[in-house]
Amino acid sequence: MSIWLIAAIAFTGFLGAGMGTMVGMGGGTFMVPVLAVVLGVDLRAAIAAGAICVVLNSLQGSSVYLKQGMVNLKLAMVLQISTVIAAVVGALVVIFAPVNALKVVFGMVLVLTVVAMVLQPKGRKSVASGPDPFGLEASYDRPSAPGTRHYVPQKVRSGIGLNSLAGLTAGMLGIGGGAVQVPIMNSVMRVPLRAAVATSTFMVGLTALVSALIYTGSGLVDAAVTVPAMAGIVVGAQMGSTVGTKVPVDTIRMMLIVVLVVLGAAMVGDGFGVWSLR
Amino acid sequence: MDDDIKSVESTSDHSPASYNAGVVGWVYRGISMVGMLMALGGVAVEIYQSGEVRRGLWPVHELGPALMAGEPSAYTTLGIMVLLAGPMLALISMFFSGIRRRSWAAVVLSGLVFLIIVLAIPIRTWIEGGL
Repeated sequence: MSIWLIAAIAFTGFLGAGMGTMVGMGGGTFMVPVLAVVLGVDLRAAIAAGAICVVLNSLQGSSVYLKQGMVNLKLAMVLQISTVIAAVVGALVVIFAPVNALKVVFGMVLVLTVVAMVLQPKGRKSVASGPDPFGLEASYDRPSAPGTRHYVPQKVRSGIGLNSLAGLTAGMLGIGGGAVQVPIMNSVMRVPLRAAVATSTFMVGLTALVSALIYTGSGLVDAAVTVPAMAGIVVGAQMGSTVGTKVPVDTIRMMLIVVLVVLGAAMVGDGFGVWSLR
Repeated sequence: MDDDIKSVESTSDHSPASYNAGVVGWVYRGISMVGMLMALGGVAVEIYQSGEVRRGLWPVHELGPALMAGEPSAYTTLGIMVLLAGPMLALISMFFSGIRRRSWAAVVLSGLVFLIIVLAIPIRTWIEGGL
């Protein structure tokens, strides 16, 4: 692998995490398809790199959220069981399914991500008291106002079922699954957005870990792809959170939507053998 | 005061303390730094020495001798493994913290998640062997 390709992989990770952080999504959704359809990296190696980058991102993000007491660890563990089982299934699909089928699925998930970005489902107000059969009530200190926000997650069984979708996509595609988890926790389970983001950031690390272990055991992890991507993702996420407040986020979101639509179409086209970006 | 904003003492089974949140946070921060530096350092030395990067990771049984021999790619592999160990250590920490505090929900849940993750590799091998 040439030094230029290694640099291009690092730059892709940087760009994905930079733009992703600004609009509130993980870098893998952009990085994995670019690596596969633009830079010609083997899709399975790109997915494995994506999963390890998600673990790294989760470690870094969670350390801050855990310190702030934002992560609802019991909710995370309750949801994690179905999510991790689904991630195992997803990772096994990556190993045994034809690459072209994976490309088509990835392309369709990219298009659905764009639809979710455009529609932006409205979050629902959290519930401070009520039945709590699983004992998942939690609280955190509000960062922007004095006082503590107390909440009781609702519709936990639905949350458990729906979160397995996040696990499946994460296991299959090497992305975090936060784009699926956060709206489920916020809109269906009525967890406050901050707590949903923090809990999801913690959960995606464990979800990606299980698929990363399966990919590692199958020899899919390519250090020449993974390590430059990790470096790019870390620097990009830092840049995104620093610059994010100073740039027009709507413009970045529009650009990302267009890029994801093109990448999604390219993945589907490549999967069916009718169109490729390379 | 708004009914969803009230002071609550975190003393029950679901409190972050039951899951050792502070320790997990520190474990995460340390692991991500060490793993990242090892992986990056290994690749940087490899590129400096040969202009090439070893594609695959070292198998676990060959990793020790490769590290002793000062093979840079072995340090890259170790860095990635350290990163992957982070969430596992967090689960172990949550499990033992639960036992110490007699928070059985934390023990059962973290233990179950740990078990599923540990079983993932044998399941893959078993399915691969069956096909």
